[in-house]
Amino acid sequence: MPIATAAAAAPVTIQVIGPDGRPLAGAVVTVTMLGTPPPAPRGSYSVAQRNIQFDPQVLIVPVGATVSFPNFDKVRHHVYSFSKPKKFELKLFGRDESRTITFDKPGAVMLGCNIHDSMNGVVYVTASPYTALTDANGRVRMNVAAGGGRVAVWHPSIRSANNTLEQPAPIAATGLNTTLQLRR
Amino acid sequence: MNLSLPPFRTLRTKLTVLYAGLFTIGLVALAVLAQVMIERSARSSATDELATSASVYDRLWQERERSLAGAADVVARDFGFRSAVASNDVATIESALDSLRARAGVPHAVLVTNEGQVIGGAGELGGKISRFVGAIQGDRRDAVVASDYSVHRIVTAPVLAPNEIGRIAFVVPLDASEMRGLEKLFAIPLTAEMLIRTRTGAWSDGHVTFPASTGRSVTNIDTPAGRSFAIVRPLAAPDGPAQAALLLSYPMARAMQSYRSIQIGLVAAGLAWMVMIVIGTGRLARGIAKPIVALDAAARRLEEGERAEVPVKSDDEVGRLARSFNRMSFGIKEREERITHLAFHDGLTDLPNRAFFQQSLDQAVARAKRLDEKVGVLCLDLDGFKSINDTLGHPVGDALLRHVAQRLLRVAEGAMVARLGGDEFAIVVSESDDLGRSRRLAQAVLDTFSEPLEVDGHTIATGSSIGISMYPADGKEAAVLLKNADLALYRAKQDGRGNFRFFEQSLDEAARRRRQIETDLRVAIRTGQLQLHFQPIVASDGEAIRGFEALLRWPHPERGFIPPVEFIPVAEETGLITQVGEWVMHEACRVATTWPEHVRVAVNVSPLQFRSQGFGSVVLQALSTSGLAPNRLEIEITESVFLEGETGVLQILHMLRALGVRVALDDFGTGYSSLSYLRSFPFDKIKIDRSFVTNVANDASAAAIVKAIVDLATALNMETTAEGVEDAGQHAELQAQGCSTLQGFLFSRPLDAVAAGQMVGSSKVKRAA
Repeated sequence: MPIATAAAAAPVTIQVIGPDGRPLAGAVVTVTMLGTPPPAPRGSYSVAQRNIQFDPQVLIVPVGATVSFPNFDKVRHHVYSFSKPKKFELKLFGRDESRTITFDKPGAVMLGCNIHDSMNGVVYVTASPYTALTDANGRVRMNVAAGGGRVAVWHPSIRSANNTLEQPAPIAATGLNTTLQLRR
Repeated sequence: MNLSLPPFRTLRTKLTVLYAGLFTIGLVALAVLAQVMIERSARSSATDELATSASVYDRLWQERERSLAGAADVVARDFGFRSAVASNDVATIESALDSLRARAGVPHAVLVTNEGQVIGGAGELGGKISRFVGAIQGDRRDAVVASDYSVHRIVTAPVLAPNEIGRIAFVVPLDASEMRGLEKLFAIPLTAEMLIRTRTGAWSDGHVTFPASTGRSVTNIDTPAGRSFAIVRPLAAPDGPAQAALLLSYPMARAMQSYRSIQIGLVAAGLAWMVMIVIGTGRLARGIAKPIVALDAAARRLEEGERAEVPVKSDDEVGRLARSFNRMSFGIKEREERITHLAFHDGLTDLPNRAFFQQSLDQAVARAKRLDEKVGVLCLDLDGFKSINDTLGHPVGDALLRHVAQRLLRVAEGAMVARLGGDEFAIVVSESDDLGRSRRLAQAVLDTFSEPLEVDGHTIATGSSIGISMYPADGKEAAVLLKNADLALYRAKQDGRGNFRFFEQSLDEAARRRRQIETDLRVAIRTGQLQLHFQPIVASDGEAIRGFEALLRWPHPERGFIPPVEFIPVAEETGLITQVGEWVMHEACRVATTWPEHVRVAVNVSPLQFRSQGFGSVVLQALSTSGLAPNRLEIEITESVFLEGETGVLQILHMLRALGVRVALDDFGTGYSSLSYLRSFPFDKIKIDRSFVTNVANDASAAAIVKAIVDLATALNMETTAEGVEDAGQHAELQAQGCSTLQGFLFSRPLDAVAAGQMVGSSKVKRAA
């Protein structure tokens, strides 16, 4: 879900290839350009629990956003996060109950349910307007003002600090079309 | 079996060794087969057990992983623990790990965060645990790492928040005590051991090395505990090839242990079986060999001359052999006895023979010596046996001998009678105190022969002459006694047949002298000691020499002249007469050739010489060698030549007559004086014996006989020669009676060849004074 910015400029297309050589879906790609102000929270954000799954599994929110966690299942959930940007714990709440958390620091906040181990989710709190989730082809498309920036890829499988890889990304006026190959 | 075994001395040993050997070979083959099968079975069962154990181990390994992982999971998923990890609450984490370690019974439990931080003690592995844990890939929870020659198992559990932020790891050293614990879990007594991969890729535990290619199947290895079955289980490393492996081994000796009782049983049964076989074959072999051993021993006894028989116990070959052997032994013994009998008995009369006689005489002499007794030896022969044999034939002669033997046995009264050969018998008279018994026996023998014998339809009157010698007077030894008895017999025959004589010492001396003469005569013939002397035969007027009679002279170099009467009989007995006669014939003819042609030479020929085979050729050779005219040779023979039969003699006489040789009948008037001889052959001359001539002058009867002879000769147209004319009276009377020639000392003594030649040269006899 790309976050649109006011000054749309050069088109940037980045494809992320996983260590297995296949396009990596569900990775969060962030292009950081110096001087670009962080986006402001707009509208409401929610991570629903439906069919014992977080929905959506990856939610990108700007810093300061408040996210609600509505439960649509018949069972109760115990949503928590031990991630540094936001540690919280929503103890056992039932159907049609909703809790909200405000995420005030950037970073990936891994969501889990203490009852259901299989429930995994992430609230990616970003300070950059150019943050998007790769599609099934591992691609993101966004318009970024040209200039020297950095690109960071986050994915839970990336075995580095904060599960993030980062590298410079010079964006020309014509934009950028690049492929990031993740190494094991 | 032609194996070069030391040759067995007995059949029994041979059989026993052969059979026991064969059974033993079979037994050993069975034992080897059993051993091979037991080993194979042990191997296969050990292999099975080991393989089963290995798969049990695999399950145990997984079980342990699951149990450890489960235990770790409980903690890893604990909200509080995760919260502590997320907030890096080290003290809390360590205490949680401590209690986890105690609960799971594991020496070490650590937490390794994603950032590589290690919380809790990892034992020997220390900080390296972080790297090992991080290397475990994918869903695997379990890995074995080798480090500094120690091996550790690491079982992990992820700490999810909800993504993985770290891992709990149990560190289990796979050391000796762990191995011992592992060993206890198996049903069979396995040895578990850790192998580490060396630089070359092979597995090693410091003692034994396995090639890298060692598979998952059971192999054999040599361990300090002996040969073992083994199986190698590589243990998965965190990543890449396994760094360590588990070696499960099973000593072969242990595998074989359960078969030990079977093996012992087999060996014991085998030994028992072998003992039974040896005993059994020993008994069997003895059964077979026993009769053969008995035969062997019997054959040996037979060889040594004993009578040997073996008991026949069976009907088989051995039994038949025993029967044949017994028959053979019996036959040999019988023949031996027969041969012995033949050796010591005369086949014709069945009397003891000479050999037996001599033995018996030896014994009798020995016994007499011991008991101070006398022994008499009688030697006897039959008078005229030769002529009986010649006239009636040998079968009758043999029958006669058998009859004689019977008679002698009857007469002998227990004394030993033996046949010494021909018609010669001998009797040993032992236990006699004096000469009486021998004398009585000799007389009894003579008496019994006074009656004629009826033999094969012939009535034969035979007599016997007997010589007797006595022990100890006539000899101390059997041979001497026999010889002396023989001398006595000789004497008895000389004294006229049909009587007996005891031996006298003079007989022995005479015999010795005869032997001496014989020896010397042989030398004399060889060395030419013999000489011929010649006595003139003159006409009745006493002056004209008509011839000479050759007379043999032997001037012995030591004993002087030996008279012919002494050596001629010896020459006749020994057969030397032939040689002597031949020489005389040649010498007489040779000398005669030196004389005038009207002078003859007269040569005396003994009956033995006359009848000898080559006599005719001797005369012929003497004539041809000397060149003497045959009619100048006159051969003088006596009537005794006719004693042995007339036919042969007449043949010789006619042969001589055909040659032209003259023949004179010598010593006429003595002896038999059978006139039939004069009829059967026309002699050229009759020589009147000196016994008539000596008394012709003063005894009318002698003169009458001379007259009769001269008349007879004149009528038959024969000359006469009177021998031994010694004085003129005799000469006158003989001349008056018409005797044609004369011979005697009155005219001349015998002269040597030279003197005879001179006398014939003067052509006149020089009368002795």
